[in-house]
Amino acid sequence: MTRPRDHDALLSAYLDDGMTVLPDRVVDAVLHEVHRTRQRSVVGPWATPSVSRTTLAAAAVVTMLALAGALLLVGGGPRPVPSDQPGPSPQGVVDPSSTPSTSPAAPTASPVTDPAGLWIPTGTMGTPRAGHSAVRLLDGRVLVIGADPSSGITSAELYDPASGTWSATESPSRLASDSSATLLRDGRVLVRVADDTHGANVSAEVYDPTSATWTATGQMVRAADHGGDTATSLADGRVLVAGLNGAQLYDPGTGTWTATGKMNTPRFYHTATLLPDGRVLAAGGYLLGDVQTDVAELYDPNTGSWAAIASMQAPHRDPTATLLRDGTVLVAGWSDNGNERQFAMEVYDPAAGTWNPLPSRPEIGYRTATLLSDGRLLVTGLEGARGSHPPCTAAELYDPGNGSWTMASSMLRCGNGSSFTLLLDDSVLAAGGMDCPPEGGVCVGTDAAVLYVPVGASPPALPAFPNPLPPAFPSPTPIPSAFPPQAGPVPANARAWTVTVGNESSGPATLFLAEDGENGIGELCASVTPHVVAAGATQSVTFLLPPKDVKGCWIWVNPVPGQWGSLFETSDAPLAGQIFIDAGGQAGWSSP
Amino acid sequence: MLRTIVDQARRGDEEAFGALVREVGDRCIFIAHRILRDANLAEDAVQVALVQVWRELPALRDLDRFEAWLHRILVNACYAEARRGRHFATDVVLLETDAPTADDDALLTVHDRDQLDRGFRRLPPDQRAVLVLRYALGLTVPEVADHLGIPLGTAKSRLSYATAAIRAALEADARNAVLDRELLA
Repeated sequence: MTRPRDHDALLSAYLDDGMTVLPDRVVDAVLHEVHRTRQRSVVGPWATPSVSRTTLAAAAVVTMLALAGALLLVGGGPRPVPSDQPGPSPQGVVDPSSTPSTSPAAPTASPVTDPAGLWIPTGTMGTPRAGHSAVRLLDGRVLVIGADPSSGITSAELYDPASGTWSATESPSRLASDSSATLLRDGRVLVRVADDTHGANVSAEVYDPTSATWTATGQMVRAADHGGDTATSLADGRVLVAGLNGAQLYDPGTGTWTATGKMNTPRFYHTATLLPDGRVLAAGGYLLGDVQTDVAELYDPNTGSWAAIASMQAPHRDPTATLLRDGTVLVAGWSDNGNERQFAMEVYDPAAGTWNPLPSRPEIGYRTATLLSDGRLLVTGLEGARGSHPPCTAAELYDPGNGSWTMASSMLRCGNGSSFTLLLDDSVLAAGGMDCPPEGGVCVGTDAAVLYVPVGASPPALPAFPNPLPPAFPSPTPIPSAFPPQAGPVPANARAWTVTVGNESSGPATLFLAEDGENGIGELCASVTPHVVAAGATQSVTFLLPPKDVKGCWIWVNPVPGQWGSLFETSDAPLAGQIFIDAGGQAGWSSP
Repeated sequence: MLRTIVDQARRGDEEAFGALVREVGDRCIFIAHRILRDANLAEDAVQVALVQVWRELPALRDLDRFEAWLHRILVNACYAEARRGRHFATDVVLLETDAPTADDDALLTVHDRDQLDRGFRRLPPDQRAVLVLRYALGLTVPEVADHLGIPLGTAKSRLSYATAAIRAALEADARNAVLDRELLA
């Protein structure tokens, strides 16, 4: 007869078996890494149980200095709500975000290490892809369309950030050469498809995410395609397609195409960027005969015409164009001058109508740039001018606000030919690309995908495991998804604590009193309604402090869920001076 | 002592952090290896976690919370490694071993170990984590919840699901062994 079995004891015995000593090589690797790694910057008088007024004021000043630098470095500061626009197109066009930033400054000599951003693997695609198109849908999923580099067959699939998994969806007809996927204002996606195997004649199809189907739409005015056209979603919902052979507009409401003005300097493989005022900036590219051009011009949708503007400082080969948060456009790329290659960056200021060169690091350039929600650019495809190629897994962060460069952690895999898409949680999906053996040899397309998770961004959900396991798992770290994160009763013996807040920005400022959580704002310190200080107003704000030790309670200014915000540690002592929110939305402290 | 080292390390003292790594490293690999059941993945998870501990230490307010805070970071690193590791297989095929006999007094036979391994490896990493903290570290369920940063109810449900799965694996095997013996009789 079998005895009853003590499963708990068996399990304990089973779990008793395993490694018990951390190998020295791991310790050495950790310490080596630590030596090169900056600690997170946090301002707070740790060793001071009760903070005097003077100390607090000094700490506040230090806070401001840190906020101006360190917290910006780790992704702090108010962030705009991500727009519902797609990420960069293959031409490097990035859709607009809104919040102004400061003027570019001189760059640092060499990049420092990103203090907390991390690349992590996510679900694997069903098909290897490289040089494909990717677009973020309104519901946050990502549609990728493009050929398997080995088979050439067009297919499409969807990435669901909630589960970290991919699923197949209906494919469009044969994708036209260099067609990008353009998100329409109604949530559908427009692509151009080739009508024949040579791709000389094109038509258009739209993808409807609700029915997961592609349908042909309208008769394009100009069916002959040279390749290298751009497709730009305009503010009124229409789409401008422009290239060497002319320009036309697609109206999603009627599903029709109409001709519009040609560029004064017809070109292809240029960049096209929607400006905040609704105009479109076309810059660079190639003229007929594959001649690089530095010519730029603006399209006005109201008149349907193009106007020449100042030329760029230099032509750029395969440039990227990024609309920055201050409304200027950063164009960057390599230029060839005889046998010399030089990477140049310049900014177009629509208000002044001028191009201004940016200092860039000598000999190092990039091929892709993805605008993060904090205003920095995640750049990949790093190249050296004279054969000094960084690993294709390398990525960096460029801050246009202060010109600083930061080394991001390794991408885990090669990023050549990957698509980069900013997700709603501020992480960046890098899908597909070419994997090249480090020792040389044939590069092959990959079905792998990785996520760049900046500090403070919500960690992605775990991908589902095969049955019979549960289909999905909760996120490993609880992060508030809405404000206030919680609301409980007002604690007994709560105390009032008042601070003056001056809001110099053009929008309302929201302030919370909350703990500093592991991934940004934590639980509220007391049951308080968020305080809102109107634009241009200066007023006293009274917080309710809990009866417990107030250490660990911070004032958060304009925080975004899962993000670090501008913050001030509270104290039992009354505050001298006041908090201000500057025109750019950054919080600061002015002492009396 | 540990509190002092943590305090020095969070102020940027690399030497103190080195001492801290040596102090907690063995416990970290103990936990990680039991969750991941793979030495390479476990070492990678510990390395990632300890570097993150260094980065984030200045944000640790309550030094007495260091252990729970460390465990949370480590377990999250294990989750990440589990996602990364292609050989973090959930459908493990083990070689058959002799079934246990009725008079087998050993607490954990080779057969038991194989069956437990089969059942354990089918568990997702979050359920493995609660089992390891509960049965290998001997934490109470509220402590497990605290260390993992999850609600108590979630910890209870994960533990319940995981232990039920393990028991089901063992009992199914026991039933099969009885059936085998009856067929041979």
